[in-house]
Amino acid sequence: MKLLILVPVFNEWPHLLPVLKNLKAHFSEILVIDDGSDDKSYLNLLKKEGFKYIDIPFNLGHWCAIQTGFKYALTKEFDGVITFDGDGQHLPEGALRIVPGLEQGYDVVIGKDNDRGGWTRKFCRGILNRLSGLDISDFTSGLRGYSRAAMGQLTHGSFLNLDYQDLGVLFMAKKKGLRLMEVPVRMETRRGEKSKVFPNFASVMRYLFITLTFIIARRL
Amino acid sequence: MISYKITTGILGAVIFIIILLLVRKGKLQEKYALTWFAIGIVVVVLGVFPVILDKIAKFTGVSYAPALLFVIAVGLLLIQNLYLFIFASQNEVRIKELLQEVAVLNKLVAELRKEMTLRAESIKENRPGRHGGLNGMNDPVNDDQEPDFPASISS
Repeated sequence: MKLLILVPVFNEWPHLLPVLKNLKAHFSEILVIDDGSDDKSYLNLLKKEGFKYIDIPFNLGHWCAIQTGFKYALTKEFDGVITFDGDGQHLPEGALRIVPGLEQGYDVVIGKDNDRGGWTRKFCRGILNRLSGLDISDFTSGLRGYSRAAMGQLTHGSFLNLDYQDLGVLFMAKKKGLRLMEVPVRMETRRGEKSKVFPNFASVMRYLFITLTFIIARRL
Repeated sequence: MISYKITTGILGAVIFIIILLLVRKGKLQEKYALTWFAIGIVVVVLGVFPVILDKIAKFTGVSYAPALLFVIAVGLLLIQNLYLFIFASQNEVRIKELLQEVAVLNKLVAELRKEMTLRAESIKENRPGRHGGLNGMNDPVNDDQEPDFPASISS
């Protein structure tokens, strides 16, 4: 199976290189997607180290950066991709555990670590999970495998409206008839000081509001 | 005659339902629903409890409470409008940047194609006995043909 590892990156430079080198030991095809980082000079260093990258001129958001990778993988005839965060949170061993799921023919394989995050996170996740009726316990996980069929579907239409690679993507993927699967993996605490998706309280509230609106609008 | 509270309640509910339907159909992104929900909530609250408006009017020194309502409404719409203008400006810049990038990419792809055909031809000339040119390159591309790079990405 020809797999591509997608590493979406937004202002992640000092932590990125060791992560990529670890990955390189296990996977041959890696693609870094720079989602409009403030300082792009590190891309030259990446080139020197022999890593491929896509350079998006401005910040589109995590999910949109991943979709860019999907489109690349589709034109390059890959059978599937694995999304892998560049902040040191994910381990190559975790990515390896995604592979069998894709080989068995599942369309979206999610690496879950239920011990991740504080109790507030877990509590919110539990409620949103119950409300959505998805039955995916770690839907915010960024370590995921997507099959070719999934990539074809997820790069069109209403999927372009989404901001986060999370519940919304999974909810709509399930609705499209794609097969979802969860695999337990171990994750590290991230090396960067802060989460890139949730840097402050307002961003968490914004996320909760958007996700709740999403669920209410589609489940009523 | 029904109570005015029912009228405003229904009005608020209609705003909510329209927003939810638009989100459901993907016409409105979730993140833009926030301000519209806020407007719906204000309509319902002020409609059902107009006392609040009277209190605010007394506090701010406005003698005629309904006038305050119009001031607030116009103010909110102005903010919304300004936000849309900012948004439109940002989008315009981004579209320009993208188009420039696409234009440069098109040019680069065209140049690459030309280079490849030239190389394929020179190889053919050097070895007249061989047919078909490079491996897998039996079909050298015409230089003046439109490059199909953006189209293949979006398909």
